[in-house]
Amino acid sequence: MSEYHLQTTEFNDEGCLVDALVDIGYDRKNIEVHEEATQLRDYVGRATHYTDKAGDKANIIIRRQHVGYSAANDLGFKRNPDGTMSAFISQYDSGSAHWGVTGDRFLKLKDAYIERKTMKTAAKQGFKFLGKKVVNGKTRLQFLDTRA
Amino acid sequence: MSSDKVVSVVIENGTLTFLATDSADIFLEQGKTITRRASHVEPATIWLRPLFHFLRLFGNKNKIAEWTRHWPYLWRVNTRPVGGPILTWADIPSGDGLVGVPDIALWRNRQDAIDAEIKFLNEWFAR
Repeated sequence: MSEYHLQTTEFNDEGCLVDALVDIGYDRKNIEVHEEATQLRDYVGRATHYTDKAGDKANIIIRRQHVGYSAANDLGFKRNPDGTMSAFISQYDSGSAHWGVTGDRFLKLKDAYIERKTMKTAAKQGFKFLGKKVVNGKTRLQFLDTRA
Repeated sequence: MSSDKVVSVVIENGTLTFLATDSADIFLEQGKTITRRASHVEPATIWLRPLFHFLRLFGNKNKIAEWTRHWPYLWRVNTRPVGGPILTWADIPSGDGLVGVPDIALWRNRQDAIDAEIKFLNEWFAR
């Protein structure tokens, strides 16, 4: 009898998240990483207050002019007290054609993030990477457990 | 290369899928994980199968379960829990050590059946 695990994405590694954003096409120099959460701005540059009267803030930010389509607001990821990162996406940007969580961009980011995180976890444990294969939109990674 | 030492993971639509093995357990902490049954290695003998599954209702880690694992009969691999087939010769890349009749692949050694099961499932998840 075998069992299998299904794991949903949880952004909890800042480095892997930045690498994943680069993997899906963002220029690393346009990805801001702030130790202290920083103000997000809307499509004309006004500070946003959608979720917080004091201003919406995030730790990883792609400014609106770099998001990839017109009239975008800043895209942000905020660090939570438990170490996970939450995406901060405005209502306008939540359409599936933009950055909606069920849209293509967000799914690509999740896939890129999981790949980065899995590679990192495996490397940390000393696993040997055997290869990567992409078939029908599925990415398969293979490793050899070299631990005694 | 022992099949349980090779770890395959499949990424699709923001989800990571991988077989539950000691080696693959390193990935459990990466995110929220649910565990599901993938398959059964079960007796090929038709009258033993219901008994085998009945006894397994009482758990997979007790003395009775351990006893069933050593029954001296032929074994087959049933991957229906993931929508797969009862493994046939055509599903097995290497036929070494197999016995059987046309179609259903059978193993005398249960561990060999488990190895074939792992190889098959790793391919199956990637399809």
